[in-house]
Amino acid sequence: MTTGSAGGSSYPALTQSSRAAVAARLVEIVTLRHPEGLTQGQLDELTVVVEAQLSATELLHRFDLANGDEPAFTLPPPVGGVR
Amino acid sequence: MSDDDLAFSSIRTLGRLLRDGTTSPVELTTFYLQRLHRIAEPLNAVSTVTEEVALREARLAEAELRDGLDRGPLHGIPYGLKDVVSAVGAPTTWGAFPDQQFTQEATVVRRLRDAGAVLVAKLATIELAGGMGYDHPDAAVTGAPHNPWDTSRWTSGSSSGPAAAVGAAAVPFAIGSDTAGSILLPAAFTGTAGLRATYGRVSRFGAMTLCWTLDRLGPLCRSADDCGLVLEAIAGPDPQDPSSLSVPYRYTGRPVRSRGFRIGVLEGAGEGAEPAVTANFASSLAALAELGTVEEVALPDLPYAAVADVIIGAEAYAALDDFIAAGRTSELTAAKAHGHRLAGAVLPAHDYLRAQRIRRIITTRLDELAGGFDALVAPSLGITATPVTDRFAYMLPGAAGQPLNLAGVLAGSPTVSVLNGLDGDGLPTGIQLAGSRLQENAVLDAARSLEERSGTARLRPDGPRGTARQGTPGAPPPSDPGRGDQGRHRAGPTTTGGRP
Repeated sequence: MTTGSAGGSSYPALTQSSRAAVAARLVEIVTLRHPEGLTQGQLDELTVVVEAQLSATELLHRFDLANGDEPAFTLPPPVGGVR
Repeated sequence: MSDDDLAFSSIRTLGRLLRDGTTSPVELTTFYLQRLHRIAEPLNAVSTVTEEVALREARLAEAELRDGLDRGPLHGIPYGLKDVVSAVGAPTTWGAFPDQQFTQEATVVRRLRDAGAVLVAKLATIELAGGMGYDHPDAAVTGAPHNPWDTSRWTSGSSSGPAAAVGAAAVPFAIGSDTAGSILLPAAFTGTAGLRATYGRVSRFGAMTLCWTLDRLGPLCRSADDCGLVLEAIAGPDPQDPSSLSVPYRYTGRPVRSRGFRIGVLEGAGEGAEPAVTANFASSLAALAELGTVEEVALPDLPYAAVADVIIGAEAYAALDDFIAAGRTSELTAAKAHGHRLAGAVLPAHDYLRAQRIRRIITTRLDELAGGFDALVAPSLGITATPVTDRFAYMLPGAAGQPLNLAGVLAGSPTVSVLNGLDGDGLPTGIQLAGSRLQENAVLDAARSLEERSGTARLRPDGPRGTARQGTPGAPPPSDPGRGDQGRHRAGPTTTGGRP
């Protein structure tokens, strides 16, 4: 049973300033995982994508889901059917 | 029949010519090998011409047909394979690694061999199926792919080589891959028919993984009917692909519908599109109204793009995490790819799961909507092919048609794009027909009937500047589509369907 709907979620929303701070920290975390260093071009692209990622996930968190709403992957029946 | 009329023939016509002795598998293979070298290579559509494999398979097909062993509609028909799919005896470059070879061949290759088809080429792809990010057509070891309708335009991606090669009739059909539009959008730009069948219909074993829960393989062909013939050959359960469905698929040997279709047209489907796209879509709707009923429907208001972006962001990072985390994205041609997927390292698992939970709702809602129709329709893209020199915005919804594309991507349901006309510059426009899961035949029958009613499947590129003409038996052969000057440059939008 799916019960999802837009707009009813109570998941805490990030403010504009907190989102920018989170994005900056996430970029910093990625740079820590690349001790060889990232170029300015990489950092610019990474920043754009991290911010877009936060926008996308923020949008998804405004979508109300019920506890029982399952992800869209389940183990399919075995090829050739159940034996 | 001229060389071009032969080259642009349907699979059924080629099969008839093979069986009545007009041509033979070896002659036909040699003919298409020459076209690959002469026409497709200058378009940057080819990764490797598999001449030795092709001639060996063609000789075998010739002997079998001569001895009365008929493997069906694809027996003796040459084809090309997007270079993200492995085939023994040739590199599988993924558009990025010229020396990469695999010892296991893909299930789809084995199935096509079992059907008697002849592998003539590995075809170009945007590097790593476009999945690391790109914003310029020149993002592949093969260079920027040129559109056979106008060589100053590109093909869209990431199945750029299959689309260009089929569009130029350098192969009768090709196998492409699609994660979020990589079959559908190149089909629209090149006036070919592209089918993204139900998720799980076609085994992905042996193909590059970009996104386990979205990746699909499928045909690019000259028509919807050809797509059905190819799908029948490549569909079916495969123990080597855990996602493969156990249900069988048949296209031939069943009652074919040609009327009485119930079509749902998305509200505002043509809004924001180029005028020629809107006009050709209106003509298609008029033709469909003569074949059944057309009623306006609303696509559920759901966050399609955000769900797709989060799923692809997480899975693409996971699928290639050793490559990305080692900093090897900087080896790729596209500067955008050097940093684009690094963000997947900080995408929380719960957000990925939330996207997949919403995706299930999307699937349910689309099933409910599409289940009331034979097909939902919208323009495949709101624009025609853009200049090969232009940058574009990656992963943006952009042109009209994308919501229905993304809904079908996420729902795992079948969608076919077919040519539905040309713009004032002779560039193709496309219409997408999307159906319920497992209902490929309803979609293909509607698309085929539309093609027959409108005559658009007979359109083909004619000459270096892309002036299209109707294919007429006995007409003099046009000049090669991939030759000549670089054609026109036209001002136009810079946003295209650059999804993987």
